[in-house]
Amino acid sequence: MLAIKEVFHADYVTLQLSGEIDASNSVLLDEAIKQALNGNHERILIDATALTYISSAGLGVFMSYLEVFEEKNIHFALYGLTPTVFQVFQILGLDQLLTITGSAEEALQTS
Amino acid sequence: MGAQVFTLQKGLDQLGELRSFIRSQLARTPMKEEKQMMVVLAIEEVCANLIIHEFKQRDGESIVVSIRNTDKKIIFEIKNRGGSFNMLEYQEPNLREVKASKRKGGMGIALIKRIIDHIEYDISPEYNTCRLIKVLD
Repeated sequence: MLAIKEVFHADYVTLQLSGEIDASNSVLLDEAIKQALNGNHERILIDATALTYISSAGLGVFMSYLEVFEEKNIHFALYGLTPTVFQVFQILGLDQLLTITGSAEEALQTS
Repeated sequence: MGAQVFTLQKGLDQLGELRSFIRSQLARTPMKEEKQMMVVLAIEEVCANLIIHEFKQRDGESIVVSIRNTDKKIIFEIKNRGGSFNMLEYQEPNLREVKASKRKGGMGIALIKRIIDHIEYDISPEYNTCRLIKVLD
């Protein structure tokens, strides 16, 4: 089960993820990011504090937008990953392609 | 322990149940908890791949996942009828190319190969069996 909550700030939006992302529900994450892109935000943050599991379907969604974020000059960052969820990113080296920080404050500072 | 079996028949919606089954079985082994989650992920990736590529082509398709362990290793067998995909022949994608192409797929098999110690295939007219072996520390 995956729940996604959008939290709007002055010039950025945070997508708060909770639960597990797999191939059955990654389309929800895809739609949420697409929606955030349509909102013309300068920054899109992912709060993964309550995300307990991610499979390649979820990783694939993030990867598929990296080029778009660059093209549109949008700062994209994830924060608050649990050690096991972070390990999934790390195994494939995605931690080198994505901005991943410990907290929202750090994620905002990296922009 | 003897082999414990789980059958997937309902497609991707059953992945959560599959994870619960594997977690409960791994909890009975001496495998460290942080490794257990990675192994759950690898087994789910194999099954999700089969569901996405095989279930659409045949009605009534099912996948049978069995787990057994010895003192030194845990052996997962994933059986299905119909098509098979040999991960051993799969070339890992270059991440820069994945990013540039904006595609969503292609990383599951790379995860499996990095998590699992040994992968074998038995292809027969009746069943295709993918055997994944994780060595216990």
